[in-house]
Amino acid sequence: MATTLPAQTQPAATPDADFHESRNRIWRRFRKHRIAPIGGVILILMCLVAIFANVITPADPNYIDQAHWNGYPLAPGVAGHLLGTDENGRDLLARLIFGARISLTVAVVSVMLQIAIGTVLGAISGYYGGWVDFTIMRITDVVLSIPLLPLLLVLTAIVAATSNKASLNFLSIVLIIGLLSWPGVARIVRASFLSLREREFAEAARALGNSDGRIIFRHLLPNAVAPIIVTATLAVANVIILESTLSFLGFGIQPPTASWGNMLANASSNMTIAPWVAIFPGLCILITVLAINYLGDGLRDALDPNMR
Amino acid sequence: MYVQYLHWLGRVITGDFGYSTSNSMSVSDAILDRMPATLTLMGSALLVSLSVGVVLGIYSALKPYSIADYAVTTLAFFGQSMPVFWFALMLQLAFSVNGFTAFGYHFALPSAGLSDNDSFDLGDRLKHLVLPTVVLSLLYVAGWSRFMRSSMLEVVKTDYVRTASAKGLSQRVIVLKHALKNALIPLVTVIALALPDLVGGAVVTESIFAWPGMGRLFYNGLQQFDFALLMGYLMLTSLLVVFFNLLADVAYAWLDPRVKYS
Repeated sequence: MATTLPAQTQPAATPDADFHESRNRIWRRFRKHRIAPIGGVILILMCLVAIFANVITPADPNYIDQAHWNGYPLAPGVAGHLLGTDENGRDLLARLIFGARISLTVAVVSVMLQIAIGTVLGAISGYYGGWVDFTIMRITDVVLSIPLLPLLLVLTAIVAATSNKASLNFLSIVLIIGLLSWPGVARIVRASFLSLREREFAEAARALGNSDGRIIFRHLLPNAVAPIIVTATLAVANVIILESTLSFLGFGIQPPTASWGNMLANASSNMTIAPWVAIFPGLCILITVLAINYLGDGLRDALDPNMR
Repeated sequence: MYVQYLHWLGRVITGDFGYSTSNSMSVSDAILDRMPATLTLMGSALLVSLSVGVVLGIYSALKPYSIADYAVTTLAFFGQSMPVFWFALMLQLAFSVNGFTAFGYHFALPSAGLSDNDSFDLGDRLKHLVLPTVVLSLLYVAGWSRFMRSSMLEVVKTDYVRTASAKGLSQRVIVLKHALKNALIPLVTVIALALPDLVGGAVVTESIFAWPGMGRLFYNGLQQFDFALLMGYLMLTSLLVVFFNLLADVAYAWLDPRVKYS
C-alpha cells in the first residue's frame, strides 16, 4: 500500500497542482504591480471601517452637539470632534465612517446586480448568436446611447415624484443603478463567450449531451471569470462616484442618512468659513476610488495579461 | 401608460416636445435657448482635453517607464478617480472663494455664471469659462492621455516607423509626421464613446458653476419634476450621441482606408 503512495502524490501530474501553480503565478504577477496590493490593503481597511462602523465611531452620526454648536460648523479638534462637525453640528468623522458603510454597500450590491444581469445576458448572447444575440445587443446599444447620469437622475426623480423624496432609500438607488449599468458587462462577457464556444472543450461538452444551460454555466462561465472580476472591480469604483454624484445633487441617498455624496451637498455654502466640511468627504471618495482603480489595474495585469 | 408614450413619441417626430411647466415655454424653445452656452462649454472642454491629453500621451509614450511617464500615469489615475463635483468644489475653494497669492500675483477666477454684465466682453466671458472647462476636461485628459500612450506605443512598433527611422529622419519628424497620424485615428471612436459621459458631466458642472446651459436647465427641471422637459432633454441628448457615433464610424472609415463597411 505504502509503496503506491508516492506515485499518486506527484505534484505536477494532478490537475489540482496545476491549479495551484497558476494561482501562484497570478499572485506573483499581482505583486509585481507595486501599487495594486496597497490599493487592496486600503480597500480592506475601508471595508473593515464600514463593517465595524458602530464599534469604532466616536459619536452617533446623527447626534447634534447642542452644547457646543453655534449654528456654524465646528473646526477640527474643537470640543473633541477630531475632524470637526458639519453645518448641523454633527460629528464629521462619525458621519464619514457611516458614510463609508452606505457608499460601499450601495456600490457592492448594485455591482453584484449589474454583473448578474450582464453575465447572463452576455453569456446567452455570445453562446446562441443569431437573432438572440442581435436582439440583446440592440438593447444594450439603446441603453448605452442614453447618457447614464441624466437617465439615473430622471428615474430617481420619478421615484421621488410618485411618492416622496424619503422613498429614495438604499434599495431604490441600488436597483436603479444596478438595472441600468449592465450593458458594459454584457458586452465583455459576450466577447469571451464568442471565442469560448468555439473551443474544443465546449465542443466536447456538447458531444457528451450536456444541456445548453449546463454548458454555459458549468463549462464556459468559469473560463470567463477573469474579465468579469476585473470589470466588477472597476465597476465598484464607478458606482461609488455615481452614487456620490446622485447624492450630491440631492437625488441619491437622502439625509439624515450620511453618504459621502450628500455630506458634500451643503458643504459649498459654508466653504469660506468651513472648508474641512467640503474637503474630507471628497478625500474619502478619492482615496477609496483610487485604491479600487489601482487594484483593478493590478488584477487585470495578473489575471488577464492579454486584456490591454 | 404606453398609449401616452406613443402619443408623446408621435408628437416628438413632428418636433413638438410638449410644454415645460418650470420655464413657461415649450420644451424645444427652452432647450434651444440654452444650447449655445452648453455647446461653448463642451466644445472648449473637448478642445482642452484633446490637446492636453494627446500631448501628455505622446510625451509618456516616447519615454516609457521614465519618471515623467509615471507622473502622467499617476495623474491620470487621480483624474479618473476624482468625483467631478468635488474637483469643482476644490477649484472654487482655491480660486474663487478667497483667491490665492503666489509668486507675487493674486489669482482669482469667477466661480459662477456666464458673465458679470450683460454687454459682451470677451475677456470677461473667457474668465468665466476657465473653471467649468477645467472641471469638465479633467476626466477626459486623464482617460485620453492613457489611451494616447498605448495607441502611440503600438504605432511606434510598426514597420513603417522603423523604415522612417532607418531613413535617418529625426525622432521629431517621425513622431509628428508619421506615427501621430495613425495613432490619432482610434481616438475618433473614443471621443464618440465619451459623449454620453460628457453630457452627464455637463449637468454636474453647470449646476455647480451656475452655467446657464442645458445641463442646468435639466437640473432645475429635475427639482421641479418637469417631466416634459426631462424627457425632451434625454431624447435630444440620446439622438445627439447616436448621431455622433454614426459620424465617428464614417470618419473612421475615411481616415483609415483599411476599414471597409460592407
